[in-house]
Amino acid sequence: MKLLADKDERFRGLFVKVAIFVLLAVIGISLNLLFAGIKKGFFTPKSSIYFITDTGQDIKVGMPVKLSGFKIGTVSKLELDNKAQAQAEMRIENRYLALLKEDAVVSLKKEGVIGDGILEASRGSEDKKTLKAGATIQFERGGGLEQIANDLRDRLYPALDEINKLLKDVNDPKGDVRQTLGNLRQFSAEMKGTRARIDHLLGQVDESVVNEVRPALQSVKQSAKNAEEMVGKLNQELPGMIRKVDASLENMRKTSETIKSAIDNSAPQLTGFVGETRGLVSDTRNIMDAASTSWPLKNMIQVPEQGLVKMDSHD
Amino acid sequence: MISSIFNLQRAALLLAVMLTGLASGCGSAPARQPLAIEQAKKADLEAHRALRDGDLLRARELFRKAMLLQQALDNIPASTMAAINLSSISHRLADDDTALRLLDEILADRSAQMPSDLRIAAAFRKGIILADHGRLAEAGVALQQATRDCNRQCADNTGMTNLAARLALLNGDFPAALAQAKAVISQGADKAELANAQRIAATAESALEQNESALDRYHVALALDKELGLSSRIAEDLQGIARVLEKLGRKPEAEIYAQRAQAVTAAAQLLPGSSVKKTLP
Repeated sequence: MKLLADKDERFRGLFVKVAIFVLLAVIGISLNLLFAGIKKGFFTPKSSIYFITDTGQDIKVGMPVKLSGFKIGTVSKLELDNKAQAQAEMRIENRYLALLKEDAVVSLKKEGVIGDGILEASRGSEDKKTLKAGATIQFERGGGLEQIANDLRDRLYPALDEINKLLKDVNDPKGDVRQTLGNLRQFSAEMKGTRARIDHLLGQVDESVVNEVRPALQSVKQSAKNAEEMVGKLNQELPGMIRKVDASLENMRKTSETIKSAIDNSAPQLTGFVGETRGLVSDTRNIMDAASTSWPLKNMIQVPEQGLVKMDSHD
Repeated sequence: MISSIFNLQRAALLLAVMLTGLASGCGSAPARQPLAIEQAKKADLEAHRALRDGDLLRARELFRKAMLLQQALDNIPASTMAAINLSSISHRLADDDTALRLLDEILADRSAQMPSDLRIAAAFRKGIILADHGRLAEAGVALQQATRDCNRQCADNTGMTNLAARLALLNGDFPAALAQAKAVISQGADKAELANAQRIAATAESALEQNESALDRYHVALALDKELGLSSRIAEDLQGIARVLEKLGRKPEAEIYAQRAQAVTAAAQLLPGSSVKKTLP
């Protein structure tokens, strides 16, 4: 039974028209979803590849896996194994799987310096076999700024400790360096005295050769004895000191190399970082400028007065 | 019934379209201008922003940038305005050589494109800076130029009268200074110039031994300067009150005001970018 009688000619066959309209809409939406799915790769055949890492920090489900800058898959699962290690499953598109070799490595990196984390896959050696579905490959954490800073810290600390120790040794009154310097000073003073006495002896040699020569010679003998003892001491102490100095110098050289290497590694990234930051600030400023001149923000933000800066008769 | 539903639907659709149009119209940013013009305007805007934030060094750098950008575009009014602003900031930063050089360059330009109000402003500001340095004759010449071009029609008219009063005060002509300051007070002016006029009148009255009236005027000036938040002027007012109170034989009160003046000056000088001036008449 019809609720309303279709007396108006325009509504004849309304049900069919509406049905066609709805059907077209449903087909349109379905096609849209289908194309979106195809574009997103929902229907692309994929294979699982695994990697294991000590910690799942910074690794997330959905994280893209890239090869030579192209997305080849995503992290689909992350779970703890029975050794409390993080096991990650990656779904790699089959057409790209053929590009990876058995010794391929995935490394965790940042997209840009401050971008999201991604997994960057390396192809592996050409002479190795092609990676098969279900295989487990190696994983490593890449060197972002944080990593570089941590590495630098780990390598700098021992060197700084050594330098600190060396400085302590140098400053310690009972330390080898201070004592040796003291001994050397004493030795120098004694040698000065000896030289003075010899000079005096040479001056007096005509007058009282017999009376003076003997004690002076004894003095020279004593000084020589002292010198011999000092040299003996130096012979004992110097090698140790030289070794320490050598070790410290070696550490300093390593530190210098580490710093140089860190700078070399980080300099390109820092340049990028500065560039990206500048771009970010510029973009933000543009957005803020645009927002501040648009309703409703333009009524809320106080724009500074322009024109002549105020200056009164007493300024 | 169905046709009325369709009409309602059309009305709703029309309303939605109108609302969308209205919302998009409200939300749209102004049209972009050529890069160089935008940069110049942005530099000027940021300079004012820096000035508002009290960052005089940044303001100076940005006004210089704005001036150069406008000069590169041969926009004489805008570059002159930026130059006057740069001069004012340089003066606040105690770089009066630069401030005067910039103003002299403006005053030397007799081209028709130079707006007269900016030339007046430049002459007036030159007079103020020269008066600060005690170069009274030169300040008088600059003020005369400003006054002649202004012909009592410009925005700085009361300021010019105040400057004339100040110069008279510095020249020891207290009655003239008092008359001109009173003229400003009676005409009415903005708070800053009104406070200046009261201070000048108070100083002149004090010199003319009209101490009670001078004391009242200093208090009025102090209240205005507090409203304006001008530390150096507050310190001057407090010092003036202390001087007058001492003349009136009220030494204990005078000491309290003198201490307050010292405290204000000391605190203001500790602030970054402070340029608290010494007491001026």
